[in-house]
Order: sequence, then C-alpha cells, then structure tokens
Amino acid sequence: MTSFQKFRRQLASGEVVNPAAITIPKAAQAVQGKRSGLVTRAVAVGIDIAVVLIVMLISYGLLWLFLLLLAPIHVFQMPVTTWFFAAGFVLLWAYWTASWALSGRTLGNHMMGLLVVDHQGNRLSWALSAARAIFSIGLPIGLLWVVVSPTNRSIQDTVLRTSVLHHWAVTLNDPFVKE
Amino acid sequence: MTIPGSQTDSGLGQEVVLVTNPIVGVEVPAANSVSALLGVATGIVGAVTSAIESTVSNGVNAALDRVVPLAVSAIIDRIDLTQIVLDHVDIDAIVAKANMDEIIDRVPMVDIADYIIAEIDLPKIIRESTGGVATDAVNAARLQALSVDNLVNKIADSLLLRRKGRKVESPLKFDLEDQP
Repeated sequence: MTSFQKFRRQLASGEVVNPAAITIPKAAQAVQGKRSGLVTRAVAVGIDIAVVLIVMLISYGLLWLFLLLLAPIHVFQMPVTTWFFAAGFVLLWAYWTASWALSGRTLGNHMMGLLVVDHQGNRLSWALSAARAIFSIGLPIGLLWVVVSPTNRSIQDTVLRTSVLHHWAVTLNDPFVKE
Repeated sequence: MTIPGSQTDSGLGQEVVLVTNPIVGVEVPAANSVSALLGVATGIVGAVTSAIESTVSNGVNAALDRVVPLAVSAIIDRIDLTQIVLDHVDIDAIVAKANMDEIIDRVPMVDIADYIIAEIDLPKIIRESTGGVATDAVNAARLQALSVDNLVNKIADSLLLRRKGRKVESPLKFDLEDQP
C-alpha cells in the first residue's frame, strides 16, 4: 500500500504522472493546444455531418410512422431532396452553434480531440458561434485554406479570428464545458 | 427430645448459675483508679489530637487547593510546555508504540469514506476513467489523422517554399500541469 507520504514524495519527484496527461499518448502530447491540420478537422466535420444525417433519417422515419396513425393508407415516400437538405443544413447550423457555444466541441470535434476557441482562447460567444456555423455551411471549401495558411487556419477562422486546437484530454472541471 | 437442664434423674446434668450482681463490700485498690484516670486522660488527649489534626489538615488542604493551581498555572505561563515536549519527547516513538488498530476502531471509517466519496465526486471520476478507456480506442484514429496532417502540411510547405514552418501556437494557455 502506498502511504500518503510516499505518494506525495512520488508526485513531487515526478514519478506519478498527472492524471490528465495519462490519457494522452506521448506522441500527441507536444501538439496539445496547437492548431489542428486539415485531415483531422475534415474527419471531425464528416462525423458531424454523419450525425446530422442519421438524426434526419430517424426523424423522417418517426414522422412517417406518426402520419401512419393519422392516415392508415399513407404510402411511404422518400423525402423531397430540396426540403430534406434544407432541413439538414438548418439542423447542422443549430447543432454547430450550440456545440461551439456551450462546450467548444461538436461530437466530431470530441472524437478527434479538437476544441474551437476565439482569439483570446475562450469559448465562442453565441453570436460568433452562429456566424462561424453559417459561414462553414455556406463556404465549406474554406476549410481547405488550412493547408495553405501558415497558421493552420481556415478562411472562416481567419475572418472570425477563431482557432481549432488539439485538446485531447477532457478533464474534471473543464472550464470549457458550460455546466 | 430432652432439655439439658431437666436431665437430673440421669445424674449427668449440672446447673450453672451466673452471678451478675455487683460484689458489695469489696474495696477497689487505689492502683486501679490511677490507671482509669490515665485511660481517661489518654482518651481526651487522643480526641484533642485528632481534632487538631483534622482541623489543621483541612486548613492546609484548603490553602493548597487555592495556592497550587495558581502556582502551577503561573509556572506553566512562564514556560513553553509545547516546546519542552517537542524538545524532550520522542513523539515518533510514542506514535510508533501507539496501537493504531484501537485508534482506527474508534474512527467512523464508513462515514469518512462516504464523505470523501461525496467530496471527490467519485461517480464523475468513474465516468471520466471509462471515458479514458474509450479514448484509448479513439486515440489510434486521432494519431493517424495527426500523422496524415503532418504529411499534408509538409508537402504543402515544400510546395509553397515555406521554410520557417507553421505557427500553430494557440491563444489558449494549454498546460498539462495546470490541469486539475
């Protein structure tokens, strides 16, 4: 059994690693807090879009089942493409806005260990978050600017002075998560 | 059943008569009166002595009861008892000799454990650690994306003839040591 005295000695000498650092592989510890590259961010966006798509399909299925209650001879039809995508964009906008404003992370960001911050390193305000979300949806190709930018910023990031950082460890008392 | 006094016919029983009346006419010798006087005197002296003893001891005790606490507190005020104990008493040795089991038996361990669990929010820690296990699975994907990122950046930098590399430091003061 480790006595308290022994534990304190080990912590002081660095034998005991900080719990937050344990979860991060050594290869990735150097990039923590640095701006992420294109591939990681693109994967995160892909996950977000997949999430929204799944939610849309489930919602449409439930809506059809509900209509079946009202009219029993209701024939199943594929959704109208225009409306389906329009609703999808609105949902994606709302999802990104809320995620960045509340925790700085969407599900895709969370999976890829990313964090979205403003120019001071704080969580995005609701207005900034909404603007960034609509900008990202309206100009998705802006993400490619990450490759060209010397500071790993997309066009949206450059205009709105935001950053997408590697932030793999979500710890206790995370100041970024709004309780 | 036979009564001892009534067995006169057998010749074995004899009657005993106790004479309790004082003997009249016999003179008491003078030596007896002197010793009686002495006895009385001794008794009086003993009584007086014990009365004086009790009185004196009561008085002395009362005086001591008043004086001793004052004197001792005055002495203790003048000396640093804690320092003296620290200087002269091997506290570690006392602790080493103490029966810890007895002490721990008197400590409400379960209450303390409940308190600690509530204070450190153990359920949250368990959630975090299971999240950590899930993160291990995700880490592989993240690391792969990271290495591809580095490759893409390297190619882009060489194509753009950028030699200084990228400035990717963030405004966030990210320090692992600061993490709680």
